Amino acid sequence: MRKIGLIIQREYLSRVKKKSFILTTLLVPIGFLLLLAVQFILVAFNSDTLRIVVKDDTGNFAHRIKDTESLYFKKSNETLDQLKSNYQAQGYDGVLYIPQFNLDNPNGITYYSDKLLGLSAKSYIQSELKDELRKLKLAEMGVNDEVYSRVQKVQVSISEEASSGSSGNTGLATAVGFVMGFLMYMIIFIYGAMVMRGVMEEKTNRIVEVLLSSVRPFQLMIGKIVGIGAVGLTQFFIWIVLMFLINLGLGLFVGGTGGTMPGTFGSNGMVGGNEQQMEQAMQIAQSIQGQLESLPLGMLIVGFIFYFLFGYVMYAAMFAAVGSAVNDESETQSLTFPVSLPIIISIFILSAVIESPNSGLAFWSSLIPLFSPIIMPFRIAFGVPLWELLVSMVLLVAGSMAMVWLSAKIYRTGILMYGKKVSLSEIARWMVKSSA
Amino acid sequence: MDLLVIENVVKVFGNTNAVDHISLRVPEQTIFGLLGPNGAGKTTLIRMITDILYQDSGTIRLNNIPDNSERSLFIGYMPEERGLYKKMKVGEHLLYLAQLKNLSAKQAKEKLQYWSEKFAITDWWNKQVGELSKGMQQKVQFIATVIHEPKLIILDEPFSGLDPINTNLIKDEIYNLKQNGATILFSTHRMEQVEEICERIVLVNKGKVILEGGVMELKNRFKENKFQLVYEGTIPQDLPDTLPFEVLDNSEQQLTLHIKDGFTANHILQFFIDNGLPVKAFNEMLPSINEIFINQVQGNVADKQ
Repeated sequence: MRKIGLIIQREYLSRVKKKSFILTTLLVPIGFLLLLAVQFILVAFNSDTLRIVVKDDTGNFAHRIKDTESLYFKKSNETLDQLKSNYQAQGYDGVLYIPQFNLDNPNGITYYSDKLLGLSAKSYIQSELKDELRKLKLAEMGVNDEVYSRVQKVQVSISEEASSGSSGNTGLATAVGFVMGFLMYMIIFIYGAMVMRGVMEEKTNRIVEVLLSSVRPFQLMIGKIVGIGAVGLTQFFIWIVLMFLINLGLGLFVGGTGGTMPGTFGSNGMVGGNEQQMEQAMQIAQSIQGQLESLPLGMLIVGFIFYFLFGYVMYAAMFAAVGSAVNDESETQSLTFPVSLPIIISIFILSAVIESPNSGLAFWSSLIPLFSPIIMPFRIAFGVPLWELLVSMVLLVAGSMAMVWLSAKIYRTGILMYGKKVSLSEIARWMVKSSA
Repeated sequence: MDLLVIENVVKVFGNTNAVDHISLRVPEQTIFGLLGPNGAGKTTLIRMITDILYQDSGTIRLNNIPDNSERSLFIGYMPEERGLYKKMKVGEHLLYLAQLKNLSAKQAKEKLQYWSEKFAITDWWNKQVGELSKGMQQKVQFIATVIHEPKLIILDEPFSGLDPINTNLIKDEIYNLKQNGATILFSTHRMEQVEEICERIVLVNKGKVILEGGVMELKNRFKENKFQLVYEGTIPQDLPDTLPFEVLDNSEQQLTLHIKDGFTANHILQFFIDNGLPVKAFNEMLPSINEIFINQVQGNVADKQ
């Protein structure tokens, strides 16, 4: 045991101390932060405002079109021809002309500019006008503004209540589940490949024979798998902590600027729309947070870590076996294929399961150890009956132990074989009868 | 007292008998040469001694070690194909390998202090292994092999890649280790080194022992009664048939002779004294281990055919 401890320690420290590890560990959350920041900036500080002068012959609409973040409307009393000729001189981007029209047949609304309006601006103006038009029509029929806005506030949304107790939001659960499944896929590949390269390095380096005169092959293999797994866990842990801090910092930042907003920009009519937009953004953020709370978060995290640990051990053992059987990088491709295949199939199953999370496919694939590390975390997001989860976990533990045992047989034979290119059938023979 | 006792060990890979009923005794505190052509089964035998592989049948025993203890802890093995982790620092690396041999970190540090001063690698302590020259890496490897004071040290081609200075350094160290009680199993193809260093050798071919014994003993066993003689003057052209020797080669006043049955070296000298020819040098020509090796291995092949 002491020797396995030493091996784990070396595998762990030699990787954690690497510059590349420190860089990726720090850069991923920073990249995440940047992505958020960019999005935030795009939403909150889009300064590219379109200034539109409105010539409203009806007199009913111009004052009703509300300014937004990127659109600024100004009513004008000049004639259309005057405006058309000098809107640019007055600092506007275009002229919106609303002629007198019949409420039943609103025709002739025109936008004059040398630049196109853009899709979102156009649809915004259309919806504002339509809204106003509706009000006018309803008023004509005797419905006043207050009634209209009360009708407008009626919203319908379907909330789901799963029988196992985890109330869920289907869209969010799908997103979270898929992200987790995909993350698992990436992690298993990245760290599995790391194990494979580590084993290959020892073999091609020829240090393995020196090591094997002190330790058993099994100790060497397990030490490497556990050491690299610990590297993965460390990376997660740092990421989670950093994300948490970033989230916290971001919350303070958003809250802080939100508070100062009216003081700094409030007097400036042009930027006034920002507040509204900011509020909207905050509302969205809050609703996401609220929805996240509706997911079985604790279960998800525990489940994810559990399925990562054993899924990783299972696949890492197979990758270690491949690493031991090859002589150089070029030989790995044909042998990694059978190992990667189940992971890739899992991803296909995952995309099918997204369509129907309660299907038989979802049920069976979340029990089979080769697939369950990717499928089960997805299903947990939707809520899984406890017995299914337990059976799946027990099967995964058993499956990963069996895989370690088989891989160890390949490993101890392969690791001392030099020069010869090994075929799959030969590896299968090593599994049955090991010559070491 | 024999340190290593190998009895009837067999190892089969597929259809080939890599090691075919080998029995061997390596006496304590000797430098023992393990010779054989490529593919003779040396590495397989060594791997079984070091517990990397298990024999199919037969026993391998290391005497004078506590019962129920791991044999490999008392063996230091430097394989022919050897390497180190290139990205590790020299000090860390040696510490790691020493700890894998069950030394505590403290013990290991003390011993490494001693060895790194002895081999003048202290300055390299914090350098990455990959930055060292090949010879330097070899020294690191040698230290790793002997750090835990093994009773049996197995060296497979320990001098390959070393310059003459470092070769001597390691060679002296091998003698030292022997003086201090270690037994050395030395595997090589370099026959001049075998003659120089080894006291006993075993010759293995095709998984079988074909020859074993002390170096001098073997040379005597395979000598062909040849002598070399340097003289002055001229030897008469027509020598009588009754001479005690026959001349195999005569060039630049140096004769290579073969003594006929029933005669001794003294008879030859007597002949030169009687004929008034001054003898400047006279010595017996013993076969080199190299010649014995080649003869035996080829003879072995011939026998089979």
